[in-house]
Amino acid sequence: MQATKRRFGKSANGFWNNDNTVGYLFALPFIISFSLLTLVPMALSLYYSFCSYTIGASPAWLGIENFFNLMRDETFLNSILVTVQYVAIGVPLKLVFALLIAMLLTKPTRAQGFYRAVYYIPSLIGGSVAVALVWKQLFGSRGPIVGFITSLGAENFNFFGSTTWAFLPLVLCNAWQFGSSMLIFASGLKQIPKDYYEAAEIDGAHVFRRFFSITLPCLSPIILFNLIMQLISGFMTFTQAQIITDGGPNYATNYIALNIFKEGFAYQHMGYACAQSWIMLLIMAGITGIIFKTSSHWTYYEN
Amino acid sequence: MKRIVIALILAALLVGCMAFPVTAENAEGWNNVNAEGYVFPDYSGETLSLMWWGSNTRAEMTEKVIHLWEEHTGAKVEFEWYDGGTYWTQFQAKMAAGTLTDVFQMGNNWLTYYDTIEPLNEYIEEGIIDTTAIGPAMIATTVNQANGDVTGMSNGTNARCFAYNPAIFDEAGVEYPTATWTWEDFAEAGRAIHEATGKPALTTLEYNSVAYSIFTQWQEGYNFYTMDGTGFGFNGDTAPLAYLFDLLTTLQQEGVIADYGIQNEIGSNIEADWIAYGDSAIVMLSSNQFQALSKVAAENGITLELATIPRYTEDGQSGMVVRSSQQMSMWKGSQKKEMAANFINYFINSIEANTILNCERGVSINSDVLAALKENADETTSKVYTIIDLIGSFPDAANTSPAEPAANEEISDVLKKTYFQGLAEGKFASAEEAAELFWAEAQEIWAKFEN
Repeated sequence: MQATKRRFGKSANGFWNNDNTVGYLFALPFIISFSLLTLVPMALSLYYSFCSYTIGASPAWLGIENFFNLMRDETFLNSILVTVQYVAIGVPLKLVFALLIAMLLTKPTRAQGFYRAVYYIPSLIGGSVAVALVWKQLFGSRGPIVGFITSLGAENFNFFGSTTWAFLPLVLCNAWQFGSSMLIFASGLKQIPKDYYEAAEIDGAHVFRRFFSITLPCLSPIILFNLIMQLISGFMTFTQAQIITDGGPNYATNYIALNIFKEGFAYQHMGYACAQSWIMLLIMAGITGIIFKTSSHWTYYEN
Repeated sequence: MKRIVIALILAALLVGCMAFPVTAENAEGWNNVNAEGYVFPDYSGETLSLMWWGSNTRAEMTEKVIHLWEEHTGAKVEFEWYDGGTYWTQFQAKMAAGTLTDVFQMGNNWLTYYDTIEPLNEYIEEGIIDTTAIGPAMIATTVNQANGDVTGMSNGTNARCFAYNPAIFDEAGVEYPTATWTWEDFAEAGRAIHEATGKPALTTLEYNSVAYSIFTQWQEGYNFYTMDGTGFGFNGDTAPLAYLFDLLTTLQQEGVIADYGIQNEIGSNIEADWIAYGDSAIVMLSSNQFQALSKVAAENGITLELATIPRYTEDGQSGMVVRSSQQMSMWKGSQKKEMAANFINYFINSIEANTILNCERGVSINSDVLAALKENADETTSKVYTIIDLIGSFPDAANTSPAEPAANEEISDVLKKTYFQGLAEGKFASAEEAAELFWAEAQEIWAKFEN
């Protein structure tokens, strides 16, 4: 073993021993797949967004016509609005849930590992079609939840038939998958030095004071991270809306990813759909940018 | 091709079967899978791929037929199936990647996917796909009238119609639908049923389809799309649509028609429809879905019947049409076209196969197959034959356009989601306004596809 290694070292020239070479070599699988599966499709979609394009046909250059049409497309503008609503309600709800459960689970008990696993399971199976179907049944017009609401006296109530309430099961389904945020919060909570709490307790600070003056500030970088990750995934929500409501009724849950999918695949306007996805990217980048810019005012780094 | 002919001759000699001589005058019928002593081509070690959409019931039947063909030919069939919605996403992904299956199920929207489809004319002329027992009118249901390309072989014919539960009609003291019942009759029956049961009377309605029908029913010479699908066929008269907008929206607000949430929950999954569980009395469906629906209903002790779509006036046009339900098409990029043609030939023409398939995809276009099936038809299937015969006998069925132009997908979706659902949400001042705005948008959408 020793002998082979030495012989290899001698015969190999400087190129193979260069740190950069080795680094790129190990990164090569990622570089190749990233280029082929992300970079090239993105460049193509940018090109198509300026074209009239149908799958299977050759694209025809239109210039900015697609973007111009988008600005007066009510269905598209509505889809931005409902997506922003979904994100604005869904993401904070999910983060509060995640933080709450994470704090409950920091108490060292013997069952801690078990509980963490249990709460993480929804995230593992989360985005799947199967879960969406379960939620469709659960909140459906013949499901137990509507049954309960009806027994309280509401007549003909039905989540998915109402433009006001159709979003709620979708938001709850998303919030229910708080596992990954929870784990990140839990590890963040562990990093907060114990003596801060001890000192505060001696000074007579009660639970809420300790939470707002110690936990939240110390956790703020983690909150920033979770917030951005969840915002991005919130903007891309698709499966549940497609399976459970099909964007309805009357476009109440026609989230932007679903609208893009419909335009591209069902209506055959792939170029127009690409233009929509670029607008969506710009909106997401804008919101993320604003959060990053303002984060210096509300995040606290100990070092 | 030559190999098959030789194999067939050898087989004929070996078995000594005189019923199947390959002679000049009936060269057309040489690949008749129903002929006595027919020898299947040998495809040992080869694979064919196939995809379709449909219900569980359809999948069970189709798999049985696939296994039979595998046994006959030694081939291996790799198949996949999806529900009606997912199918087209999968189809387009495969289309973009150039990995479509050798044979695929295709709808009346074939114009949208025209470039992927291998015309079957050559295979029919050579007789690989045997059409001796298929009438020209039946072949015409899947032909591109513009250039004569046969885009596929119809899996059968169907018609959109209503299914109803007579027990609930009796309970509400309402008369059963007749062949000429009107939308007014429908509204009256629906209201009585809703009052008697406290549940919606109707749970599934194909909004685009009834909206298109009302144009044909309104006035002779009207159609939503022209017969050849090259434009709109109602001179911009939005009165028919306004009538239907108003009627259906009112009925829905009264609770007679299930709200859009319930209808969406059921979606294209006919087996989940409330009517199968005794919780509604009427649904709209394609006649070939009746078997799958009846199967579930029977498990709950419910017997269903079929009826026509209501008319505008009793003595007016029906607005109904018998059309190809869907078809088996061949992929242009397939490397196994002869094998694919043989599979299609077996699937469409074999009595053995179609006894299993039992017209669930539509009433068979092969007269030999249909005769054999009618002889042993169960009660449910007989009802499908009866309604198809009835609709086919309406003198105006020939005036009803079956066209589904490329713009239809978007137009029908917008009609339902923006206008029907928007009207129910009070986004339009009146049904007339909604109809006018829809007409304007439909023309805009049409123009996008013209370029």
